[in-house]
Amino acid sequence: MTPEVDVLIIGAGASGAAAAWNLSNLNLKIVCLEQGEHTNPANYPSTKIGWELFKNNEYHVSPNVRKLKSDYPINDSSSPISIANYNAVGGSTILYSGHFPRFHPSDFKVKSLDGVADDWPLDYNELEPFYDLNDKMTGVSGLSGDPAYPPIEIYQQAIPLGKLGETMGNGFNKLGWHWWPSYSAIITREIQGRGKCINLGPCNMGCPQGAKSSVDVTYWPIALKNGVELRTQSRVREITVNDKGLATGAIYYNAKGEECIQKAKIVIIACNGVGTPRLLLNSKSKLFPNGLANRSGLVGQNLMLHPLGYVEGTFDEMLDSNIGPHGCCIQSQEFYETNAERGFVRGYTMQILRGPGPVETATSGLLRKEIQIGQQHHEQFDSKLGRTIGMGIIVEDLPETHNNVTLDPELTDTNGIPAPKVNYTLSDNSKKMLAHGLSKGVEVMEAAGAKKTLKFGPVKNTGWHLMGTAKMGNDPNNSVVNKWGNSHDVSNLFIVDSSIFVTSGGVNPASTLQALSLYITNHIIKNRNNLVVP
Amino acid sequence: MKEERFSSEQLQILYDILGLIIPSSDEYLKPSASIILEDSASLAEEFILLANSALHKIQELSILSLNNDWGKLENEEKIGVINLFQKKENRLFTNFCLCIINAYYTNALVLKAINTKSIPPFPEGNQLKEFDYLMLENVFLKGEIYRKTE
Repeated sequence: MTPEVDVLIIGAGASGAAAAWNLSNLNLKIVCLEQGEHTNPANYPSTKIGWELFKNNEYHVSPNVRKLKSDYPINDSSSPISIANYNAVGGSTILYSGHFPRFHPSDFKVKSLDGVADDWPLDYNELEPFYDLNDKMTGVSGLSGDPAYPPIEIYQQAIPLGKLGETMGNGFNKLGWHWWPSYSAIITREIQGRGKCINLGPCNMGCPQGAKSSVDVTYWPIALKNGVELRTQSRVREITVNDKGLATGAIYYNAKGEECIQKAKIVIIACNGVGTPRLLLNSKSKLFPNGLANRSGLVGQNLMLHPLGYVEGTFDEMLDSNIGPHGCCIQSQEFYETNAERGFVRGYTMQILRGPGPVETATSGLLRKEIQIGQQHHEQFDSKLGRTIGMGIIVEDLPETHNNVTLDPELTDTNGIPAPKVNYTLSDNSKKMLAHGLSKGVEVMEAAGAKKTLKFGPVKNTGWHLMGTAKMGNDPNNSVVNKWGNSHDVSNLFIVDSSIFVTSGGVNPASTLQALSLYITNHIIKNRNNLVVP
Repeated sequence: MKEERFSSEQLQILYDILGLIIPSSDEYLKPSASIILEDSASLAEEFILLANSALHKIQELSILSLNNDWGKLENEEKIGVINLFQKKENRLFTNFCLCIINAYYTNALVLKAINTKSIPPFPEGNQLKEFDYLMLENVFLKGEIYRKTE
């Protein structure tokens, strides 16, 4: 057993890193336990000529395919959407595209405005200073003046749109629809020793340039310099409690597989919307027989995944669409806010994606019978590479208790810890929204000049956005944590990841979950002397 | 080539097959898929396994359908055998083609030929066209589209 520390953070991904950095400015002893390892940017696939092939194995988005030592299995056979993640220092930000929009003010008031789900116990204005701080620490590029948002200060010039973005912008303009350069966690001007984006493309397998703002290059270097101790290859089995119901630390397995104990005065969980309920449900005790912090019975419930629709357009003109940051170009929020005439509540974002690389162009073309073998191969290939534009439709799914994370009765990880099981189905509202988004996606592709389009959804391997499984709220019977991420049941236990989301919004969650992490840890800083600790 | 995996006769057949699956093109300045056999170290184990199965099946089909060894067939006949292979063993054929594509489109000469711009290890990066901010004028002039909550 190692000496008791002031703060124990579990998870070194997007939210854990922001928490570690924020608390590291104080004179506290902080330890972070992370089951993955440090990644070496020099080894990222994008430094190798066969980079596209790595997405089929060790850089696959699913832990069930990767099966790295750092991964734990997830039974997602009862979901049309497979869970995607990455386990390392930096977590899923190592592989994310860096698309970094904020929630809208209305996202925090869904019950009041639309009569569904619950309002958040905080609003956009309370979170706004932490969005700003997070943008500054992250290095967010974009363009101010977006009429889809309250004013946002932008620190870095937008990523160049290229011919692709200009083409789509013209399409949106023809229809009179909203569009705007993406908010991107990718720097276009060098800061903190990080290289600026040079428009390579394979952001989703790690950025060796350091331009993409994964938290291993943003928050962690400063947090470590400030004295936070980061223990990698350390997988937490359970959070321990004393007879007063206070968290006392965690039991974890180190790199050698040895069982270790880390005592702490405050425990912060940052394991995402699947890992966090798994950990809480695995932390059973006499005082908490149904899992830690679960007196409401809501731990693991209300899973939201953002069903993703995909639209693709093929154009005659060479657009060089296969180069540039894959997920960051432009976005449209024309259909973000509720409009009752559409037949569903809430809305979605259209995220314009760069086109695929040569291997994916050829393989998907072959499987779709668009590119054949033989003499015609080259002409057909040439008509696709650099001439296709993708679009992700990010659908806001609503919290429903039948969508949940439980413990699998049989499946375990390499340490013998029960694995999570995901149960998920799309609601009628989500299905209608998805169909609407796919239809509108085709419409704008055609307006932009696409000669051919295709659409489908929900896309299988896109369950990156894991939300809602430890929701926040004012009522202890209807939420797991309060507005400060503090467990209603365990006064020195905090959750800072996207499991505390009340609703999912219609945008990528990274910006919001990191702002929440800063907001919660700011509260801890202000109130640390009043917290009841063991 | 990993000689221990293929005999010289098999290797010649493999050159033939790859050249028919993705032929060279003067118009597109692209080599045939047989170029992947020149860089033996980069060939995946999966390719070698599938190639062995494909070779066996193609030789078998040559005999069965045309009563002749592959090596003695005319070019059109070879194309016919490959089409028959695709029809009768579609899964194996598709997986074999996917393996060929993986190796072909990660070959440096092919990537240069198809102009994928900066090739790993990415020495310089790519230039992308900036955009004309005036394109957003009408979007901006339409005014706020988010709902206010206060």
